[in-house]
Amino acid sequence: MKLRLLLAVIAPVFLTEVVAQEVPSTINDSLDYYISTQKVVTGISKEGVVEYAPSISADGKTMIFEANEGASYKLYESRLENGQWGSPTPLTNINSFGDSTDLIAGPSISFDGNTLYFSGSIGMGNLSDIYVSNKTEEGWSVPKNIGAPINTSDYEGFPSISADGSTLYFVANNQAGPQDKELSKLNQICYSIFRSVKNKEGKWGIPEKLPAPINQDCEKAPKIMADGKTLIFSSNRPGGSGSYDMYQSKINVLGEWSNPQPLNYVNTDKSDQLPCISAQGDLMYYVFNNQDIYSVEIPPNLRQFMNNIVQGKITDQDTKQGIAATLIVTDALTSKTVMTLQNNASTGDYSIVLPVGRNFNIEVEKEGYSSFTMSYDLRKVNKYQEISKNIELFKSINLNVNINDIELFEPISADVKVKVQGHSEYFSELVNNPITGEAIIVLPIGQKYEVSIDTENFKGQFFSFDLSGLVMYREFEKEVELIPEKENVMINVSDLMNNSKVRSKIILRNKNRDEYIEITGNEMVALRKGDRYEIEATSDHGYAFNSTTLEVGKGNNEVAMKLLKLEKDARLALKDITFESNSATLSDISFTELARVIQLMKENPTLRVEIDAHTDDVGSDRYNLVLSDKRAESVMNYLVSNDIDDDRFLAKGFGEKQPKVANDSEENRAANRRVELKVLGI
Amino acid sequence: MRARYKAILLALFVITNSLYSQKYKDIYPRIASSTDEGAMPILKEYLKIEPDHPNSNLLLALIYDKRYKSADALTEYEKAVANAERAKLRFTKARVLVNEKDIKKNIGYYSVFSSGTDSKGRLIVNYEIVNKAMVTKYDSIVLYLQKVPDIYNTFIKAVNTYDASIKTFYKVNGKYNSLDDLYLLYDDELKTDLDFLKQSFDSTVYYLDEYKRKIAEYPIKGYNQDYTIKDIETYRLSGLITQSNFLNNDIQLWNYGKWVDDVNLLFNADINSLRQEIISYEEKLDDGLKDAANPANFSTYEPIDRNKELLFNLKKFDKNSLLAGIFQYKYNLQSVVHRTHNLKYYDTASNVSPQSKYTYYGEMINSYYLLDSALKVVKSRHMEHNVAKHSAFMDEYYRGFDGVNAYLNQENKNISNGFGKYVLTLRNAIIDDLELDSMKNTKVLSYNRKKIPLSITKHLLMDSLKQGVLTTTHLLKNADDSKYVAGVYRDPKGINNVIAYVSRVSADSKVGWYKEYNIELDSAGADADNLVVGVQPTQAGCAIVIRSVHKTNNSALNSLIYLDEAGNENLLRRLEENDYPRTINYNETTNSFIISFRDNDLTQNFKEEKTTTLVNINVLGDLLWKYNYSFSGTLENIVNTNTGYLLAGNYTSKKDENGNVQRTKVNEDQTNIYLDYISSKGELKKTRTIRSDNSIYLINITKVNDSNISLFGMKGAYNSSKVEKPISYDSDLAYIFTNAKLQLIYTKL
Repeated sequence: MKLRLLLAVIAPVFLTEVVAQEVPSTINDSLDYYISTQKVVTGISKEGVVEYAPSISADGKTMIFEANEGASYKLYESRLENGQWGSPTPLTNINSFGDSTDLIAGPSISFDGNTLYFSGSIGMGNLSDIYVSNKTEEGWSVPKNIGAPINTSDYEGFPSISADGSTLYFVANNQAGPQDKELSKLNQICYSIFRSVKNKEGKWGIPEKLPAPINQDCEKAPKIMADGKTLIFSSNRPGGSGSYDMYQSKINVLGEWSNPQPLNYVNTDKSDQLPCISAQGDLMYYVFNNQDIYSVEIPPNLRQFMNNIVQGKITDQDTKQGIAATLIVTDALTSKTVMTLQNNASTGDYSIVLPVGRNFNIEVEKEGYSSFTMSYDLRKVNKYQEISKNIELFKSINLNVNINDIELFEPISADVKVKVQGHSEYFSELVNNPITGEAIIVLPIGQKYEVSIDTENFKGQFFSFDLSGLVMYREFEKEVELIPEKENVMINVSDLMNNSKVRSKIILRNKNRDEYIEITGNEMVALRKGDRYEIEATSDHGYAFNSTTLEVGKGNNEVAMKLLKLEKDARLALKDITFESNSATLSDISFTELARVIQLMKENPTLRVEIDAHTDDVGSDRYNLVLSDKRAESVMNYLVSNDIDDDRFLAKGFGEKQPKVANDSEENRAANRRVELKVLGI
Repeated sequence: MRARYKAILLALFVITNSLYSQKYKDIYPRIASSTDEGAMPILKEYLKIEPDHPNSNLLLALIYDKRYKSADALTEYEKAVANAERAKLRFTKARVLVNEKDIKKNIGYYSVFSSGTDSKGRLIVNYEIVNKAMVTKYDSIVLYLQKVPDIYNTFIKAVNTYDASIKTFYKVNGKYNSLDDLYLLYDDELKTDLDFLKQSFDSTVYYLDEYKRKIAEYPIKGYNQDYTIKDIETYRLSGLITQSNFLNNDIQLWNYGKWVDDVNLLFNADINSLRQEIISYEEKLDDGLKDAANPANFSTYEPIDRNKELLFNLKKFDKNSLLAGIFQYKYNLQSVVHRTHNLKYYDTASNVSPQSKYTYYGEMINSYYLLDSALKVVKSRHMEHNVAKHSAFMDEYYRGFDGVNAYLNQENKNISNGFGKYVLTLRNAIIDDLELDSMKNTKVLSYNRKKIPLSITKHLLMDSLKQGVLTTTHLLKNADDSKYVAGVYRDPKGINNVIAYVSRVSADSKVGWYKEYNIELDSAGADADNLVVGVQPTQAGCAIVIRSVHKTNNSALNSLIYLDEAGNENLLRRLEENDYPRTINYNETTNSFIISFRDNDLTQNFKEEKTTTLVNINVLGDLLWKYNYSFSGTLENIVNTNTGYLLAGNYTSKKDENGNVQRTKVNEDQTNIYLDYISSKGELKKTRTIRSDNSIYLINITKVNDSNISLFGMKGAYNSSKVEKPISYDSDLAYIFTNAKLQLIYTKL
């Protein structure tokens, strides 16, 4: 007994001596300086009022504490603005829980600032329990008792929540009392520090009393720091400066608490307790002498933890309203989940405290929304940082489907139908823009979709688009190339007179789209079903051109083209040479056929032709003769203007004298209104 | 100072002696009744007093042993290894200190190794069992410390390399919006990223295989992972992950390695060949343009074909491809450059008809319009990122972004000059010919006792008509240069009403026949003024529309008369429509007439909503169709097109092409020009309101062909008398070049 007392007296001397040996004198000097920085926190402290148990948000800008302004202790909040703590405002929703005499005390704000734990003695004769309240748009929610196994019929109070929200430290009665016999004799109310860990289901586990050297005599006011390893608490254990002093202990790699070190830069002979540390890690707030909240600068060598804070809002990209989301912080080194947090459901605010020295991945999740990821490698960071990051999540994506012809790569108009996989009804039906080929489909996240694209005379296409997993981008592009349905068409080219096959070149111009095919005659060609082709046959073996049109898919899969041998007196009927009514002015639809004539003349430089124009029988013979003469001349002029010598032409009008067919219908009359080329020489 | 040390040493001596006096048997009950965490500080404290105490060393070793075994080898690696090392240390010591003698002496301390109790209820603890346990546990720890760090490091490498893969893939996805962008913007930086991505992924697979092999050899509690690899199918959707949980037994990996291989394969094959093809086509087009510009090559010049395959591939990778736009522009430019040589021919050849010249000028205007449209496409795509997609090519052939800009500016200037030149040439040529046409023919022909003037009075004033004096209002030439001349005169006899006449005049100015129309409305005698309101020659003769207005009650009747070449009346039909006939057109294809009606007086009320009515009547007098629609304005002319009819006039309030009502400042008599397209079946298919801040009204429409239609307008408040005046160069002249599709190719309002 005597020896133990002696030890109690000598040990501090010994320890001090050891410290004195190890710490340079400059630190000693500065320790004095830091002690001198102790001061009451102005703006919060009020005359005649006890401010107690401060808890500071992770960003260091909100302090919640208890004070006895009224009949009992209640909670107040103060905001740090321009370096000054503002006038405290009561947390009405929480303080009005119970009646005015009920004790609301020991607040601990979660690191994301959205959850508040506190102890309360609600109702007459009830001992303190721990309660929880969440921040809403209207303020703090009505508190809830966190229940068993943490709360019992006995006293539980002064909670402290860890940064990852998984561990709650608190105090409960120390039934055995202090180990120290002298203290034991004092018969004071004595507490021990307990810890409860959330299980996988999110329920609090059975609390365990922290072992020695944490719990020794009477301990209270535990505050677990942002690193989840450093615990500051108050104890009246022997060796302190007097009354309750603050001690700091840290879990080492073995999982053991280190010997608590008294915080000599703050401890006084009065009661010093209930610390909390600013986000920067350089300033401690605490309660001095059970009266006021003080602050003290922490000596650099004792600033054992430093945080970086990532904060911002999580909002809906379209409505810009805050949304509730889950933030999962994982250790990039092991892929272990470090913490799972919920942001403020109403405002969308979030705040993540990340201790420096580690590498983190953060995923933001919300069912039915896109996900977001960010990484913070803080392994080499050695300063406090506040990182602002607003996050916008979206409920739907835009799938931009570009529908093109696989061969021509031209936009195609098509029907786009979308349904949720497994559903029978279409979720969306639309037609794409025929000019650009684009169809923008808005698809809500969280489902698998089936998209079908169909259009006449093309093979339909189908693809699935899975939005049930992780979605991080809003804009998607999908190229859909439709394959045209085709039919084989045989193009036979033969001599007009003897029907023998002619070696020829066939040009097929699709009149519906920009398609140009060149083949040799007497070949099979696959043509697009439903499209109309202009087929032109030419031959460099002394033949004139011929042209026709074909609508594919009408059952006519064989085209017979007869070529006129270019020999004297041969007659080539030109197609689609038309004139303005009762006029010799060429219609522009004539230019296609005339271009063929120009080509023919150029390819056969010795060819001389007579341009014969004919009319129907409307009007007098005389008049029609004149009109046809003028029309023949008009054709000749056009050809001459395209660099063909005029001496290779003879223009002649025949009026209505040489009808091809009887002038007994408008169709036949149209057939008789024609222009022909008669070969004069070659 | 020395005195202080002496004091410390003395204190230590006292403490040590006092603690030595504390017996293990006194604290053991506390140890036995505590949890491991509770016992640990007591044991550690005691070992400070008696470091070589056998049982406390062993108990401490056992606690460390439990701790390392319960610690997760992967997520609590440091804790596990630290406790294993402590356990190893304590077991090493315990194996030396714990002996049979100590066990027998303190058998209660070794109760955890008890194999039971003897007959007297005393614990049985066998040294061999204790020793074996110590050896076994020690060996396990040694093996653990030998194996687990390696396993852990391999695992961490797998996690880290995959984490690096994810982040690199995420970076690539964030930078390139589509795979096409990625291919075309592929550069050294991307290559480095892709190489790193593949290397990281391959390392992941390697380390995971190693890890699997190692945990197969030395299983670790709670883990038996395997992995599956999934292919990345949809860019920006597949392959994304925030953090793969390698602690799960089923690890899912995205196959970043294959994705990189696929990207590289496509890039090396398709993109590189595309780049070669681009260079080749660019050089071909440039050569082609040089050839086209050379007049010596005019007859032999063959344009470079449109490289559809290249354009296809370009568009495939680059939807709004700047290069595809440039190629299309240059392709179009070839024919324009080539056809420019024709201008000389049209300017100099004496035997070219005006129609041929107009056709050529119109074609050039349309070509420049298309060229301008193509250039606009290029301009719209001229953006930094589009240039960056072909940066090497663009730098070499266009001197980069700024070079393209300079090229576009130059081409824009060329187009503007060319376009302006041909528009002006066409406009002036038409005006010149119209002026020539409208030159007064002072000749007066005699037929019986009638004097038929060949000069035309376009704006007829009824009050100025003199009795017996013929006034020609219509003169239309036929293809054989004969003419139909129609007009009116006031009857010197009877009721002094106006009589219509029509005659045919031969090419040599001889009157072949002459006919008069004095149509009665509701009495047996003359009771109306008869005006010729439309004349339309055909191959077979001439159709005229006569409007007869009752002299006293102003009731009106319209008649269609179709006369043959000899003046025989093939058709005389009283028309059902009483509105004022405005035009008559002939359609050779259907051998029918289209007659339009609007309002009820020669001068149209352009401020009030009126109905335009069109009727299609064949030469036999059968009504084929009728169509009417309303708006505020006037109808000035109708021209035939290949597929229907183009109606032109002025509006003050009319629905535009989008269905929105366009209004002019009608209180200021402001009008603007409109065009309506009516199909050959009589349906309004398209409309175009040509809006201007100025008041403009149509005075002439000249159609050369369907893609060459000129509208002439006059600036100022609508004046019906001016409408009939011949057009001339005038500062107030507005000019519009359009086509049957109602596209406004050129407007100068």
